[in-house]
Amino acid sequence: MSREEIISRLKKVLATVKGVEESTIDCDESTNLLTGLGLNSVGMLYMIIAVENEFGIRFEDTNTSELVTVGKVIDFIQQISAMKQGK
Amino acid sequence: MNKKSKEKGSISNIISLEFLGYDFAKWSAALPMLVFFRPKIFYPFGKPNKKGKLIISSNHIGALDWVRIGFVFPFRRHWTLTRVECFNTKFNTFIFNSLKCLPVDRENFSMDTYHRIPELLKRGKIVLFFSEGRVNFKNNDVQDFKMGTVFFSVMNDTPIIPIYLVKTDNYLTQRCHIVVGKEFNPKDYCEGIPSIADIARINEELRKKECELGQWHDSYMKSKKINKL
Repeated sequence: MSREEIISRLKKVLATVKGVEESTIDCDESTNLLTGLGLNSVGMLYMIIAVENEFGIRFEDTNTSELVTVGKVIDFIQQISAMKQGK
Repeated sequence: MNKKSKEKGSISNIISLEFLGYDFAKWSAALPMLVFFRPKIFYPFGKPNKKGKLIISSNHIGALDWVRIGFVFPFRRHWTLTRVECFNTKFNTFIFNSLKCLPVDRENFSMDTYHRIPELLKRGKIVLFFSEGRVNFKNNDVQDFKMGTVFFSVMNDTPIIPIYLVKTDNYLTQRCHIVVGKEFNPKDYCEGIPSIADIARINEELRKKECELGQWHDSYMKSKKINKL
């Protein structure tokens, strides 16, 4: 899965979490989840669970404090998907 | 065959190594606590359904709230969300794990706890949230609620039972009062998949319900005093 593909699906997830239209989500890989997208701790948790459902992965043993930017989330999704495929 | 396996299941539900510490703590504390607290449970809006998966939302007035909640559900075990700071030593970790407390770290959260809650609810268990997020030592007012209670309720389609614990100044002269509210279904307050804004709005509704229980108790105590006069 390419990074562009992941970011477009991630926008869909973020739109659900924030309850807005997908087109209004303006983010790139450097966007900060807390300050840029205005997510609080429950918002972060909601996003992670929604990402798990969207991508069919599980964030086991993940240090969630590292999930600061959209780019970091994409890194984790790629990493976990690769591990899953490797199994 | 099925009947036998059912019976086996029910016995293992009552006596289980997994819950040895929990049951020991609960039942050995029950008698002295009943004498000390003399709990009185109020159901001003009718008794809620206590079967199946449930989330309890309660205010937090002291360290013994775990025992107080146990009086409302004497024959059911509950899992409690607890601040990760309580798991600071090996001994404390052992104790809190035995009491079926789930560690919550708001800043650097581990997904283990958050995966565990839906699993427990799927198995029809009770999960207790102290929605204020900390012990309120100051007064009996309900503080702002953290959104986790409503979030997990919405995500797992689970009703919430609001409970209001009344602060007692002197246990020698006053009984421990517990006010239990009606079932609160967050799904009744939103359509489709909720957003964070919806969860915040429902969270405020839940807080209002809890405040109503407090107000009911205040007016009940006032009317009792007037009747005495």
